[in-house]
Amino acid sequence: MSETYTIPVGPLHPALHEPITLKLEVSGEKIIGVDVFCSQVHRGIEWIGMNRNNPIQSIYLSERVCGICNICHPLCMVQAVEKAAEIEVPERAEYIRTIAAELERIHSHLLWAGVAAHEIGFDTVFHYTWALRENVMDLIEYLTGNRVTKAIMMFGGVRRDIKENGAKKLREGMKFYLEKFRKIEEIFLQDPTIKMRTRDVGILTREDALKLCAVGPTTRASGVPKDVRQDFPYAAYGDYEVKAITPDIYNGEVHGDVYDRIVVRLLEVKQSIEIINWALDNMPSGPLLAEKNLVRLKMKLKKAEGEGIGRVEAPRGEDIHYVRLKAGEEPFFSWKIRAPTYNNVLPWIPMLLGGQIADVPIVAASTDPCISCLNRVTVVDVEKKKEFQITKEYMHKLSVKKTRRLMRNGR
Amino acid sequence: MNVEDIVKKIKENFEADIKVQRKSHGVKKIEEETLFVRIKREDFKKFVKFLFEIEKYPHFSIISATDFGEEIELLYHFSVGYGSFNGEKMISVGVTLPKNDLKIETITDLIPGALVSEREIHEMVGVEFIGLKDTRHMFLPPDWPEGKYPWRRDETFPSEMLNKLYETWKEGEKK
Repeated sequence: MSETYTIPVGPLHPALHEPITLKLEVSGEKIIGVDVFCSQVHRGIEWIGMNRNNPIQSIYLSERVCGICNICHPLCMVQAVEKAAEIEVPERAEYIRTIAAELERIHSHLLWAGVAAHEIGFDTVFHYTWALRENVMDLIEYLTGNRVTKAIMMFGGVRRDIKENGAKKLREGMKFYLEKFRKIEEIFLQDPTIKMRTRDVGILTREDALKLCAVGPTTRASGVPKDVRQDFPYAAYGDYEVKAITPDIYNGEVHGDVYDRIVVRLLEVKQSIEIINWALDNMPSGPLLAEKNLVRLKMKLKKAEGEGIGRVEAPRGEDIHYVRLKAGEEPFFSWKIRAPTYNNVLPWIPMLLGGQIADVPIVAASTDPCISCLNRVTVVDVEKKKEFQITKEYMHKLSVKKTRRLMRNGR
Repeated sequence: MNVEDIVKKIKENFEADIKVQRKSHGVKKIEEETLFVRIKREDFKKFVKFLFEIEKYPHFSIISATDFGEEIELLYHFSVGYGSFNGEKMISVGVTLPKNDLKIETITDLIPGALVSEREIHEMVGVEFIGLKDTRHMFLPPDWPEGKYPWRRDETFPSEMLNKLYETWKEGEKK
């Protein structure tokens, strides 16, 4: 067969129910060309922060950049403003920020593990991991008052303390996850079918990861020890001395494939548990906020002139906010948000090239894309020069079929 | 390489305005360091090549743009020195472009990962990247009117489109 097709996947994503379009050029089952289109849901958040909101309102706006990373975006933004306006953060607040950020990593990685299992047709595993995730969501709700938009960040500190009861609940929660960790590890890393579907699929080489500026677990799975918590420590991470997790820690080798991305994320869950336990044991006492009076804080920010960059290791990778303040103007003079998926979209191209359509969902999902942070993918069969639409459900069906086929023939 | 050495090297090679920002965190007061370097447009490409002398693959994060009225400043955020504890340094390189001549060389030939960001600045601010082959819209729809730039603070800002979400096209409707 010598004809090729162009297959558009999206505007709803094959892996996540979010709007992004992939244009895949396929020859038979093999993918020979990939193009990515964003642009369905640009909401102009930066514009609102630069023209309408005062800085304190923008904290709550930045939480709404993403439904999952709603600690790391505000954390990143307040850090940028703290640098621009020279606000010192109390030590206790930095520890609470660390705990909040790590709780978010646990829930985000478990959410991702569930989605990945669903993509390859293991819905029991999907429900199992999401049920496990409920525990951390309850902890987050107990500590901050909310499951999703936590509203805990403030310029110069945090808004809520972790008291004795909270610390006790957190320790119990962490103990629960350590006990369950072995089972999750067994399901994801030792199951022969998951290994068949993910080993040497969607490979991103170390070279490509560096050239395309990939971030987070995507780049670490390719053997690049890049982690903002280690390289550029913020909050309390400098005291803990985080080490970036690469797959060779687990089994001594780096493939840069989907399996390695699972390894990195699962080990990071364990690392987060350790960091939270450590932070609870070493938490200094003291105030939570540098300036309690919000009116005075607002005036201070209005008078401030300067610029700052906030950097945070979000569950998906490096998040960057750039903020510039101009004296006499209340909204930010300049605000740029760079969510991790922004850098992890280009690496999809080398990952998908040469692969099969049935692998698209799991490969795309393996970078844990967050489209609300970014924004579409289309498939093209070159040989037949025909375009046909395939739906997300059809792709998902293909993916499930491939798993079943491997299960029958593979062992 | 520490910050002092980087500053020294930049001063040797470029006419630049350098600012070092330090901020300490945690109980141990570990300091992070950020460099803001403002250079001339002619030196820009040379500066990016200079970053390759510090590290084999300098990490590119994003371009941010600020509208100053008569001119636009592009700030390229890079980082070098990953892989060791507190070893990474942010280097932000600023270039000012006058509004009547919004042109700068592309860096996608050196850092392919900069493609998304250059396409974004191209559509949002209207800067032309010399040598950039792919100039399609990234975040704005393909039928976006020409000469309208949402991140500018002047007459090219599409103010007539504000608060008109109800007028957006729905499936099944004729445009």
